[in-house]
Amino acid sequence: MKNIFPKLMRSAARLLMCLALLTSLACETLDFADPNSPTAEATTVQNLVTGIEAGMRIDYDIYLRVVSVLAREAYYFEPSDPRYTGELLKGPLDPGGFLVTRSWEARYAVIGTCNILLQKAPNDRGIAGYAKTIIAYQLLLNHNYTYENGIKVDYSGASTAAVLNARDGLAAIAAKLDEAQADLQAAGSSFSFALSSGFEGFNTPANFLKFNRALRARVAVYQGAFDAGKYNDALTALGQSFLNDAGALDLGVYHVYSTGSGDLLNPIFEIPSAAAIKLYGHPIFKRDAEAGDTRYSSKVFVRPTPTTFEGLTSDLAPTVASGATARFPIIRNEELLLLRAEANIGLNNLPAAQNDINLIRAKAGLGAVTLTAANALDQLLHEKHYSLFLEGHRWIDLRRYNKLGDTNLVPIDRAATETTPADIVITQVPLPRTEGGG
Amino acid sequence: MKVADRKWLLVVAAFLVCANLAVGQELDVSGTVTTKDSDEGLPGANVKLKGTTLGTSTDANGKFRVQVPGISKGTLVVSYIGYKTVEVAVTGSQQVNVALEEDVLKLSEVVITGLATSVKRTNLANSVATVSAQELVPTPAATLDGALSGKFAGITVSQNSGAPGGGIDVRLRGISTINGANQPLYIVDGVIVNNAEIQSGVNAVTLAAAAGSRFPQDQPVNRIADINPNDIDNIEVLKGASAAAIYGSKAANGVIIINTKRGTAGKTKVDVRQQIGFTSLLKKLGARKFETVDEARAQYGAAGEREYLRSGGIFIDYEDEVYGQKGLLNETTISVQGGSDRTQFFLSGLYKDDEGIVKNTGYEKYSGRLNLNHRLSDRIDFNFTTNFIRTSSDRGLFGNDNSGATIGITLAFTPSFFDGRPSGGIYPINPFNSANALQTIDLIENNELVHRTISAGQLTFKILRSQRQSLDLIMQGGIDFFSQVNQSYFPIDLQFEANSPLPGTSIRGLTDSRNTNLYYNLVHRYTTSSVSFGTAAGLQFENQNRNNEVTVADGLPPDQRSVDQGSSIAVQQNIVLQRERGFFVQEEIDLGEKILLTAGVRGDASSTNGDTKKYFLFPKASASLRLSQYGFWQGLSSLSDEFKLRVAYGETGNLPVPTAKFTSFVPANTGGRGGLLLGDVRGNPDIQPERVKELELGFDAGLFNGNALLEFTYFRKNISDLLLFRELPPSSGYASEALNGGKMESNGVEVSLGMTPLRSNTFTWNTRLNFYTTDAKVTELEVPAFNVLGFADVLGRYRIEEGKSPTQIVGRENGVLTALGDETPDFQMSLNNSLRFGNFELGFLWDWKKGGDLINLTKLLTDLGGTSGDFDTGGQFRLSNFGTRTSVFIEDGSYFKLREAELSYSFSKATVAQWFGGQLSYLRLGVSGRNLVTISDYSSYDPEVSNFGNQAVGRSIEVNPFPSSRSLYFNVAFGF
Repeated sequence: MKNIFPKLMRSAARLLMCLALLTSLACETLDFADPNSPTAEATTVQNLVTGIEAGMRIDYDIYLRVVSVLAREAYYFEPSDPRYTGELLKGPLDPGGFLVTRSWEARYAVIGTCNILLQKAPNDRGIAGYAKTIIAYQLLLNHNYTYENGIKVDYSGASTAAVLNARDGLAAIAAKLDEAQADLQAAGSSFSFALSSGFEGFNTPANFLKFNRALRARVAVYQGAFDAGKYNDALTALGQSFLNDAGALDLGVYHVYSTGSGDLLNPIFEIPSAAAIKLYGHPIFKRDAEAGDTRYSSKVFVRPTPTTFEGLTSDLAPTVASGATARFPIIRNEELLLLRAEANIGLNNLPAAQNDINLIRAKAGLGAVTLTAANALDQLLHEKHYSLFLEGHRWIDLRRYNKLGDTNLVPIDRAATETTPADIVITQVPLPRTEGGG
Repeated sequence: MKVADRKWLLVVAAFLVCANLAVGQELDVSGTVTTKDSDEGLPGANVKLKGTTLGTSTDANGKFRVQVPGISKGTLVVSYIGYKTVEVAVTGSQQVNVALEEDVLKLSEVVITGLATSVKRTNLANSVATVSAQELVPTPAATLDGALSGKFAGITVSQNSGAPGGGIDVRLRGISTINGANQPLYIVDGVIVNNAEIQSGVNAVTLAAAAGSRFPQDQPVNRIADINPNDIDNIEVLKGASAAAIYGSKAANGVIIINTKRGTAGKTKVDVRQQIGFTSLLKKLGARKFETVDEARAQYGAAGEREYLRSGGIFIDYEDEVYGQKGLLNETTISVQGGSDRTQFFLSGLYKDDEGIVKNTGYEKYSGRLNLNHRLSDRIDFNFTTNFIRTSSDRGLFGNDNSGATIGITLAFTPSFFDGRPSGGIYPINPFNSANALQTIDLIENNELVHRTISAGQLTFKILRSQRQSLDLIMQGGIDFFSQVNQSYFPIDLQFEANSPLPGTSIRGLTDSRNTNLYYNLVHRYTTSSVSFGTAAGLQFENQNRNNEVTVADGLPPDQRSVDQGSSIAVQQNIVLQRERGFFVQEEIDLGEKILLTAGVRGDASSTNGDTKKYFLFPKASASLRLSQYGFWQGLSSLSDEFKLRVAYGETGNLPVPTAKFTSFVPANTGGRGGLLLGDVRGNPDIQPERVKELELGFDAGLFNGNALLEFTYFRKNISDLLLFRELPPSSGYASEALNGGKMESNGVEVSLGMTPLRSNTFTWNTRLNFYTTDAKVTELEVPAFNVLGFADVLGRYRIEEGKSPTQIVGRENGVLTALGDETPDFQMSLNNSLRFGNFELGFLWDWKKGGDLINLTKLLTDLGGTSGDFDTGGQFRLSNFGTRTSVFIEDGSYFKLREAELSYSFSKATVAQWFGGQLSYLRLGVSGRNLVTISDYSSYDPEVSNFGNQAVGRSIEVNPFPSSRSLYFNVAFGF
């Protein structure tokens, strides 16, 4: 019917319309732009650069909670959402649930914006270096989630888009970082855009490249689990990164937060002494702490009354973030030192690894240790636990070494009862159902 | 030709353009129209000469005169709303007096069939429901939509929560969409009235949309709630596409046409009604009693032990503490009406002040209306209506959250031994949740204040009048403007505010909304004794313009709610701009009141379509056949005195949301710079309206000499180009995209039986039974099966799947996604009775819904909080299944409710005259109640519930709502 609309009728209708319009109504158009938000054409490069930087923080709080709870680094007591203490600790993870989907979606929304930015400024190598580095970092976070369940680097949305397993995924991420490296090296002495204070010291192509190489080193260490030769790549990348033996441990690149409009607050901050908080350190953080370790004393506040929720108990309130607008690290010098130690352990250079570990231990007020083939890995994981507490690493680190089944490192808090099975340890997040998972 | 006394005579002959009048022949009939119950004249009754367009209406005393030169005899048709039509044969100069009988079965009613045309119900080819003023609000209803419950076949009315001020879902013939607009189109006196649900912005505190579902859950009111039900004269409900096609691309969910009361000529009448009542909690769920400190410790650890010992293990019934208020209800209505032959007015005022069952909640409404009708000249009539409304509702803080702030969630996690009652103004810290409910109730503010004005005007220009023909130009225009202010305030003393990084929150939402519409209609009629033609054509212009701004200020100083005092301020703005242009043509052919044929088409272009220049066409056609008018029916007339077969077909549309065609960026700021990030939704430049095609078949049978009417209707809807939001693989950068990508089918049966089983001078009993079903199925889906609302598979969700009901509920059973229920009921039935014995009147309405499932997450949360009343006997079991068996939280929502009941006593005229000496014309006392009885196996408060507000698919998910209440009123009404 609608396709064979008689021409005559349409003309008559138009005539009548115009007659009617003459009487009172202004001839307002039906065809107008979205009154609420700009379209791609209307955005500026700076808008997109800032949006990408800001977007990396969206739903990152959910990501941090998930990987921290799965690793038994933390508990999240959320009365309104039982899944933090149920699904995450008892499984199975729901491929359609927000724990699986939200962070994943947010990372790809940033990647989508990066791709639009790349199209918008096809000849700006600085832009290309920035966008590709961020794409790689966002892919890495999703890889951390799904691991062998895979990631996609085909952004077409097609059902045939390949899902890359852990090894191939890491290779693709490394390649993207290397592409970005080439762009940054050809990008001149300054960027055509501005970044936030989180990138202070890393906001020229040359310095940004050091951040790129730091991420590349992390990826190479992760690749080491599949191919020990990659530890050499890690050492090379670390040499080009901002790693600094004498530098501050918190030297690095950060997400920054503010109370400004459209901005976000620190993803993990809560007032540690508040009557009710949600994020708690897992009791093993207290159990395994060495006496005098300032990393322990500075990162948790021991609450006078332990809190019990759903059969889980803790008195450790995190103090990792100092306030609601405190910055949160993307990658920092302390991790780079530990990555170097880890690569050296992988290459069996124990003295070099021991140097880095003892450097960090000294800064935490602890005595030196001697690494042996038998204890090196456990010692490294111990240092990483305390150095990078609640920064989203432990689950990924333990998984890489098949340590998630070690109940000393990852305790099963709730044994089976007559009616409920025991807690389990989940080793990887399913691919979201919307990506074909589940 | 002589024009007699203009004061009472309405001479139609003045319009005659007939040239060749036969001299000497003239029909000149005068008389009085009364009702059978009273000897007083009935003003405003229609008197028409059958087979012509000629007619008049009675004056203030019920008198009329019809003069037609050129003929000597004919038949007069006398009709009046609510009364049976009477035909009288007349010849020459004659005096006739006609007494009309009340038409409880509405056989003679006139029903709107086009934008400017109407037809008598006896001829109507559609099943159109009408609700009169008396049927609508025998018992006070807070809102208009709530008052429609159970009033006719094919309607499902469900409230979203018990919060004062509304939030009610109306479905006509089930659902016709999945993601599209889901409420009927409301037209009040020709104005398209905005029925938007506007979120208050409290999500900034509740964080309800921060985790499992991004969908806003601020428990909004839909704005039709503003209309004063007492102003309504009658409602016509076009349930399906076959009747509503003429409303085009906004009518897929049916159309509810509301006409407000009009003044009648004659003595000025004043009616006053005062109602006082109270409201109380409908049902208590009970709470777990902790017998020993060990039990408290086992559940809550050290904090449990400490609080148990502190309070001495007392049992505090928090349902009594929180929902125990007997809210006072007060409603005062006054109306004044009257006027002269040329000008009539209706003036009304309402003041309503209802308290809720929770302290500091309630609903207050002022409404004032002036309706004016004026006859400017013999050729020009106009009427004007204006309504000013102010409503203020305090709805508390309920429903889902992710912050522990809402009162419902707090209660689920507060054990009965915790003593949260304040002492010396200090509220004990609740260690089991982020809030102390008693403190939250006392200190928060969540107010919605609306100022609204709805005005409309209609001008009728009688271009042509002759014995056979008439041509009218009807211009209608209206504006609906409202300003809504949502002010929420969470002072720093609140437990959850004190614990937040920036204590003290004030949220201010400001909305301005303007709907305008302008219609031009031409109506031509041609009538002979055996056939009449009605032709109508028109143009429509409809605009919507809404601006919503929400400011959230955190970190406020004590006792400050001004948003500029915050140390952190976030602002959001959303503009809805929508324009439609349309036209229609319609032709009606009436063959001797035996056969009525109608055909018409509406064309609509809209700014929300991808192609804004394209006119989408919505045709319709219908036919009715009154078999009982034919000779062969004689033998059957003892069985059925009036029998009509009807068939109707029509198409309507449902517009895409205005944002569907745009790919837009959302703000994401950091480091003091404004950033833009890809939004979730990918725009679709090809988006177009979804389309409902409906075929309706049925019959109407008058039985027992007009004492009963049986109506049977079968309908079948085919919905195509379904507006869907397909989930995209997030790796594409987008979460979803709007598309026209599916088909749905639904069918149903509606049966209603109206009867007057008993009628005598002292006793009358009218009853009406409605029975209806709908059954829908998704027949084609161009996208993979997808979920709608809900929070997660394990928590129960709606799932759209080819070959399945669109309202199926799924969940995970041992890891496998399994269909666990369906929200659509098996059938619904309502029984409405009114009995009059002597001076007493008794009315009651039963409403029965059989089947229809719900997702009860209130139960899950109370189980998780360890506070369920049946924790030991059921809660433990359910918890042990949580995560592996969703089915333990899916429940049957069948109910049997006594929705309304009222008993009134009218003092006899003699008594009134004796007591008040003619000061009063009547006096009536009564008592009435709403929701007096609810019988249901549903384990929570009320199976009428929706955490996500009005949804086609995705209702009936319960998350700790404001519980439902019952109300009881005493009333007195009088007039003078």
